[in-house]
Amino acid sequence: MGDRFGIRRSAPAGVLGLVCLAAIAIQGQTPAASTKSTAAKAAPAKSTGDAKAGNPPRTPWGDPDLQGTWFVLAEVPLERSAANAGKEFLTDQEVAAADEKKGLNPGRNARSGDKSQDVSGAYNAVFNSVLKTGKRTSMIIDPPDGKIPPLAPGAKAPANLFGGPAAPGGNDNPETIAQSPRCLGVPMPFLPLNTLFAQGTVMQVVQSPKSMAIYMEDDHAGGGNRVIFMDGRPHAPAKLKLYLGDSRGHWEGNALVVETTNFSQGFRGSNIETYKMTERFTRADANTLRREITFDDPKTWTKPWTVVIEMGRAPSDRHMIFDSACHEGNYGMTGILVGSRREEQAAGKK
Amino acid sequence: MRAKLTVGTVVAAGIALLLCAPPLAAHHAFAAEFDANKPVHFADATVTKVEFINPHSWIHVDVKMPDGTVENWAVEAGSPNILLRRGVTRDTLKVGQKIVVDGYQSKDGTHRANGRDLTLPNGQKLFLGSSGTGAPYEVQRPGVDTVKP
Repeated sequence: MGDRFGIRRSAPAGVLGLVCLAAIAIQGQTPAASTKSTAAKAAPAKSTGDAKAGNPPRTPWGDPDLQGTWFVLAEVPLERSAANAGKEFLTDQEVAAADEKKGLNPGRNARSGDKSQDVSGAYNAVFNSVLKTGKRTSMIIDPPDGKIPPLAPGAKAPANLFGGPAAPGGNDNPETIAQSPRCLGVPMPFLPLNTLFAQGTVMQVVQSPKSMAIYMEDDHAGGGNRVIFMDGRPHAPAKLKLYLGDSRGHWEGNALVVETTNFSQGFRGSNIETYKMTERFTRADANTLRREITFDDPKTWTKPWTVVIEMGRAPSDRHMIFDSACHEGNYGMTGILVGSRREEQAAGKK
Repeated sequence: MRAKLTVGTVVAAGIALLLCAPPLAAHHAFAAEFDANKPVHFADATVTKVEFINPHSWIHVDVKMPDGTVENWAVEAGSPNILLRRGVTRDTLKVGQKIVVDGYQSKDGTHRANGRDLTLPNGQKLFLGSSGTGAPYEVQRPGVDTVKP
């Protein structure tokens, strides 16, 4: 039975994937570049950088070292609630009260008289992750009210935050089933919006002098691998659209600034021709990676907006990162398609 | 085949739900795959195989039917990464172990069900308080991550 467990096979597979990515990323670098610090000649960090990141750990070639497996260790909502209006951080007492409430929530162990809800909420709560409450009241730090700016004239409100639900009647066709059950991979920008299922909460960073690879764990959606080129090459032609976009990075002081364009799908209804995502990666301290993301699309939002995600170290090897390969074991996909045909047959008999 | 099933009643604990449960996230189209009108209750299920795989774990069990026959069922559960970080390993649920399954059968009538409730014969939730009591950055939930005091 042991070899049927995913653990033995999938963890090495994930590591192998990262090694392969790093190998690809390192291709083309010159020996001279590999020993030269790009940070030394870069411009000073902008005001959004963290002061504590003044002296980050460094790679052998002198760049700030962003590498490692990073976990979102606290739950922070994307937008600030009305109850927290005007307040950027919770007090320790408020955090404790929120966690106490979470501890009493049975989650998926709760039972309902509504059978359809009972079916949807399948499996015990032990399969879910309930993170402790973060002190921040919103991931959004700009605008200062912690809210997504108003939509630009003519822009449409997003139908779904997670990259598109199944189209009506879409469960009878593998092309129209929602993205996540199809194992198609995580959509960008990889935000921790669904921490209950550890979606957007774990990633591994591998660096080389001229590129950086990020593996984003999401065992349900299929995960994702990004390569960020830092060798000065231009973006791909605008007509080339990529699921995870096309990322280019450069150092500004101790911050790695990554601009991503060429998306094949937008985020929250953004226009892929005008949408741009700019990330700033810094080491806030020895155990904290700070990832700021600015979303800019004049056709969608009246002004750019910025979130911050702080990620930390997990305490032991048990909290390693896992492979997200999921096509092979996606028996549920077959079940959904077959179930949909049974529904159609039943409807036809009526 | 359905006549052979021990079709039990799914217990409604609506009070708890109303009090504190948030809306359940639509993680997977279970409603498309399983039939709310076909609840199953396997009081005597023996684990034959465990697949901790993405996107969902599958626990295979031999189910002893009232007429003495044995049917092999596959029970769909949650994704494995969270379980693994909680200390659940390949040794936590072993072949031959008895479990109790409450769930809903697949719409196509095959021997598949979603594992609404997976418990041990003594009533304890499966995997509860396995070898660790959850990750230190997670909230500890009595009855979910730890045995209730």
